[in-house]
Amino acid sequence: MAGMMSSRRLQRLCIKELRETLRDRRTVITLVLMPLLVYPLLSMTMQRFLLTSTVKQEKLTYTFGVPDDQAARSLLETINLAQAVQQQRKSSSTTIERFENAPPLEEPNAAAPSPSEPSSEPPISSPDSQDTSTADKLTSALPEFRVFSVEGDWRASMADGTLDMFIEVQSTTPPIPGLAAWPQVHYRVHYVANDLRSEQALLYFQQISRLVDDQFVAETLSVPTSSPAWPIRLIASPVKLPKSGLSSLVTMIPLVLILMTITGAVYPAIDLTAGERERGTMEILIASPAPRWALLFAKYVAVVTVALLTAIANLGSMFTTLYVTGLGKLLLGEQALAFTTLLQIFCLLVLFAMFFSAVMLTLTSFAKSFKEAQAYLIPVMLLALAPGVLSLVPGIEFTPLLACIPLVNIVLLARDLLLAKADLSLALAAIVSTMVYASAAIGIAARLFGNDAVVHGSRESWRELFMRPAEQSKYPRFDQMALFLAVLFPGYFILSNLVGQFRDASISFRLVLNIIITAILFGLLPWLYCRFSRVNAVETFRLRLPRASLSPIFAVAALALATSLWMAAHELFLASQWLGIQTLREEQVKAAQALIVQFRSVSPVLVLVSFALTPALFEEFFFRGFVFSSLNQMSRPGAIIVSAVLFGLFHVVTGSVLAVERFLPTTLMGLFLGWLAFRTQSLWPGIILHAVHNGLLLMTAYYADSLKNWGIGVEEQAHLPWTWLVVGAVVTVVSVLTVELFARFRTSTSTV
Amino acid sequence: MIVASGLVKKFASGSTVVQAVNNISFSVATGEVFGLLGPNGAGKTTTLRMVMGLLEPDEGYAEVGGVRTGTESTAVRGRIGLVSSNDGVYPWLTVREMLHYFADLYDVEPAVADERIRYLADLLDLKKFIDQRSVTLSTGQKQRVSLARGLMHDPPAMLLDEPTRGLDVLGSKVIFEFIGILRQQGKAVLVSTHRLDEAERFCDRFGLLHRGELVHEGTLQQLRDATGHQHLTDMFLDLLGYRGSMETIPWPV
Repeated sequence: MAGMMSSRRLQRLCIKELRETLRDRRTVITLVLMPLLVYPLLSMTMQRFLLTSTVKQEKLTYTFGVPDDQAARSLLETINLAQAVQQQRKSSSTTIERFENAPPLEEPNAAAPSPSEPSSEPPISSPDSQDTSTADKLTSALPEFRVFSVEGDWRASMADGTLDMFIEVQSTTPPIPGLAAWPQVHYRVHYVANDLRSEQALLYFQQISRLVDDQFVAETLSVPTSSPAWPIRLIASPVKLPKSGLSSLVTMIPLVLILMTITGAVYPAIDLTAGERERGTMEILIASPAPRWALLFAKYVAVVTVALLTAIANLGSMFTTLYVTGLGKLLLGEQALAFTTLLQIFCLLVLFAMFFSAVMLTLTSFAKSFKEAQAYLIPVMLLALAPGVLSLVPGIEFTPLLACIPLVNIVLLARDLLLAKADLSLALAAIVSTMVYASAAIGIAARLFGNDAVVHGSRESWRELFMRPAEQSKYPRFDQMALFLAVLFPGYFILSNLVGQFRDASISFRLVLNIIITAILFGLLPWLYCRFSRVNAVETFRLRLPRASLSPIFAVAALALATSLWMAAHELFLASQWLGIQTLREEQVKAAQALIVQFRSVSPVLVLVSFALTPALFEEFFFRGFVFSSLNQMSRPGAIIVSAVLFGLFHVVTGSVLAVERFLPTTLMGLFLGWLAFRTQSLWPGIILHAVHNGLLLMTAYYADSLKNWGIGVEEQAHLPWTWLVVGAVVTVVSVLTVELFARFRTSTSTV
Repeated sequence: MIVASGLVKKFASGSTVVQAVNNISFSVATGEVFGLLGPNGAGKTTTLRMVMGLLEPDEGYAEVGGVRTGTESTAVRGRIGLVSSNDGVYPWLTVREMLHYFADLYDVEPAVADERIRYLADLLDLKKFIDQRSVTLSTGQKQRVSLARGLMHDPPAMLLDEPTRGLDVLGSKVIFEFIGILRQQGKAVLVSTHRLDEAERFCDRFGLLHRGELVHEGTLQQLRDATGHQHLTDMFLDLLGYRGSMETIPWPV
């Protein structure tokens, strides 16, 4: 068969493309040489950058936070004292010499932590070069300090960079007799580990303490004391915080990796498509009976592989550079260079390579020559830079909306992974949306690939893509569906978020808004798309009733399935949570429950129309109609599975919240709905099943109180009694058999 | 084996519509070599592409072995072998790898492909360079490789698009011999060329194309009778309205 392809044959086609690409020296050069050169150079500039930024910081003002006014007074007193000492020293240089032979200065601070402190606390970390240049340190000018008393979360203030350090006053022992002028203060200094500015502030504070200590020694040499007590004790306690200041530098890492991955794939993408035409091999390729999708798939595999090899080379080179130069520790902290992080980043690069290779192949498939292909790719690469640079903006949050924007989502997700604060649901949203875009791009590429070989000029194929086709078709093609989904998915995201904006509006308004949005997204938009691309909407949406004589049987079966499947869905939901797929936070669950309470203020009919009837109608038209029809080239089980998974994915997005635990139950429902649509050759049984299923869930929540009064309460988190489950399973099996039986009966009678 | 019936193809270039091929019909039997002749731009390549199923005709149809060709029907493409003067090679693959690749494109089992490669290497004298990368091949060697490529799937119909273009005397001789072998093997061969002197030697029947129309069709004798000219070249000059006008123009002193 023409459309069929044995996997071994496909594998051989892929190997040919790989051979052709990897034997080409130009590919190998970008693959190996570039990363070897780029990262050492980049790390040198980065170190330069960090160096200059520290020099600048010396003139800056450091801000210290303290818990209360009394602590503030005490701290200011110490700072003033240190500044006074320094002034005095500057006027007489002899003092310095006198103290040059003083005992090591960190001793009094580090040697004996007071017993109240847990011994696990690290003593003052002595940053390098401290011992050799103590004298320099003591005389170097102190910067300005500002002291604020902080109410509330000081960690947050440190995280956003408002505070450089937070200082607690641990204990103030009574002044030593005869030395009443000296304060006796123990400071616990919280600084941000691996944050340049904070560590710098710590160094200065250590300098202050030393100045005071020195002066103390100088003045008390003559006073005999039984127990020498240093006036200031410092306990430095590092705080691990996500640093906003350096996070833009951290974002650089995935951005550079991504750009390098693109660079590696550009040449093979052009060579395997436009190059094919330039060499004059395109026509014989297209004239062969091998399906175009297989040809393109082999090329896609080759381009992705080269992109990945580039990614591996770059990842290796970059992390080696980061490790060797110590930049990695500075930027990311100790934990970030772990193997798992590396693996995660690599997986993201795989995903990205899949996406961008598809996009590049789509563009280069248009081109007739290398030159033309380059003309298409360069603007796209520059365009790709724009979202990348946007994600460099410090303090930019990874939001659900950004998770749907290609490239930005990968860069931000990689940044969050490196900073060890990635969110699972956002990560999934980013992964899924990227996959949707990738398949849309590859669908278009498969359609365009080779068209130009026979048509004069490339404009025709461009136009063909965006123009209305001249002829009517029964069903949308796969690439049309993929393109439509690629537009619908972010649209769905934005509109779902929009509903969240009307939090304060009346509940009836929000219910009506939900109806309208569902109808637009799954009804109006696909219908308009069908009209535009001259696809037969009646055929596509399968707006046909099953044969009148049998439809009640299907309807009853659908009703029975709705009641029994609800239990399976409930158990799967719990199973998902048990598996650890829990992304809904408690407050979100509470918000959902509060919404149910709000629902009770309006008529149950409106609730049912908004959340059961409308979604059932339009989602069935869309998933079991539109999507199903576009998959008509696939085998039936394949089409059912794909449409069910898409159905599940769309249901993960609920407003601004991503509920990953909904994926399994919804996909299960999708499988049943797909099977039902296929068996009954109609959408109506599915619509009944879908509506009743949703309705049952809503009404048990709506009347939860009354139900509880009757003793049939279903707790959110509880498993159902096993008797229910058995009955449910029996009902499901009987319903499925009934449908199968009558569907077969119908086909056998119709053929007679 | 090959049938073209009432083929029509129009191309829109800007606002004007160009009639590239207008109502062309012919047929090629097995073991027959049919020459599609015409000056540049007569519509030869467009006709061949419609026969191959690369272009959808606006009207009419083409059949190979009783199956209609078309852009959607890939099944019939397996019955056609294609050799074109525009053919390139994959520079980084060896000749053997490239022949195996074409075997895969045409769904020929690797074991069968090995045997055919052995046969074709003998036939077309590829043995010396069969394991060399194609980037090192000479023009003549490349031409022989592309002939071998067209036969990898042993198709009953062969289409040769300007097979001698850009070849020297030796290269052209290889093509003539190749066409002779194809005839012997009982393949239906459709050759398009503008080298009329050569065509006279190796074609059994001819179709003269001019401005997208099939002006004459038949054996050489039939054409001679119809046009009153002895040679194809003269027939063509007549067709184009060329009257040796160059001699009559005086030299501008």
